[in-house]
Amino acid sequence: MSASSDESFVLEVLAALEQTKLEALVVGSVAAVLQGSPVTTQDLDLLVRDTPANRRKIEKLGQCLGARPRQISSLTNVLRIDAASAPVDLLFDRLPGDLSFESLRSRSIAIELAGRTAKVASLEDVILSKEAAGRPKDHAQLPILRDTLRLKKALLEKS
Amino acid sequence: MSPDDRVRLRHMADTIKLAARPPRCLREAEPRFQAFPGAASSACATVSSTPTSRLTWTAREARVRHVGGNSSWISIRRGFATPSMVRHALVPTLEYNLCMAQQVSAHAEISRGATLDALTAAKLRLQPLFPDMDPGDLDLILTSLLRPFGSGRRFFLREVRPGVRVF
Repeated sequence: MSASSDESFVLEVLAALEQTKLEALVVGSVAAVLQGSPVTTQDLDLLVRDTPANRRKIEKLGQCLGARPRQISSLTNVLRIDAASAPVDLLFDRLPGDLSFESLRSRSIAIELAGRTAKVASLEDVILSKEAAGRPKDHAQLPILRDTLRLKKALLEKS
Repeated sequence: MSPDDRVRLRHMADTIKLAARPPRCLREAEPRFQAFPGAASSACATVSSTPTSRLTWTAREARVRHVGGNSSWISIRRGFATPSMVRHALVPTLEYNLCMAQQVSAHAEISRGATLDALTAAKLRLQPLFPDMDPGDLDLILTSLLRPFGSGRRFFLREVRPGVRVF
């Protein structure tokens, strides 16, 4: 098997997270992809706690990925690292749907990827956050995410 | 053995010790070139017992003819004799890469076969349980669910120009 550049990029981000010791949850569409959803996305979303220590670690993460974190809009506190393969967005403390970092982490799953561990928001939480976000692109993905969740549960039950 | 022969033998042994070490450019480029335990010692031992009549050999010939271990390394070691033979030393590296590529390809084929088997079995089991689901969607989702990470999947869209995104 040979990994695609997208898969290699996810591993690169996981390595950078390990190196900087930044505790982050993979959320959004990449979390859904890592759990088997056939969807596409434009960026990799990470949820972190907003602390001074984490802000410093995010600066280091930017150095590892080759770009300085920048605020994408004055309307939001989301930071973006324009990495070579895809932008990495850093979201702080909570996701739409009143999903806090702690609650998401408690339901998150650890996925082993080529020797690295990714902490990934559960597919149920990804669906909840996309329902709450309410953007057209989120609504467009919801049917396929719900079907993926149904089939995943059925596969687990059957096996 | 005359004193002169002893001096020539010692000189030859020293030359071989130096020659048994790969050139720096190869040591840095390829980790597999970094160490050949016993290469120098086996060559020196051979030279020490070389009959005087064969002292006309060059150090390089002596090392190549008496090098021990796996024969596949012989041509690589021969390449370390002089910098001008570095090109020759790279030939086995290409063979090695080709061999590795074939092994990886064979592994991928086995993995692909296993995934296809699992997919067929899952479809047969799950299709009756989800009569409301479009068969095409079921196929797509199951394929995605059962596809292992690292199998070459693409999922990031890139903006090539404003409003145009591609894989």
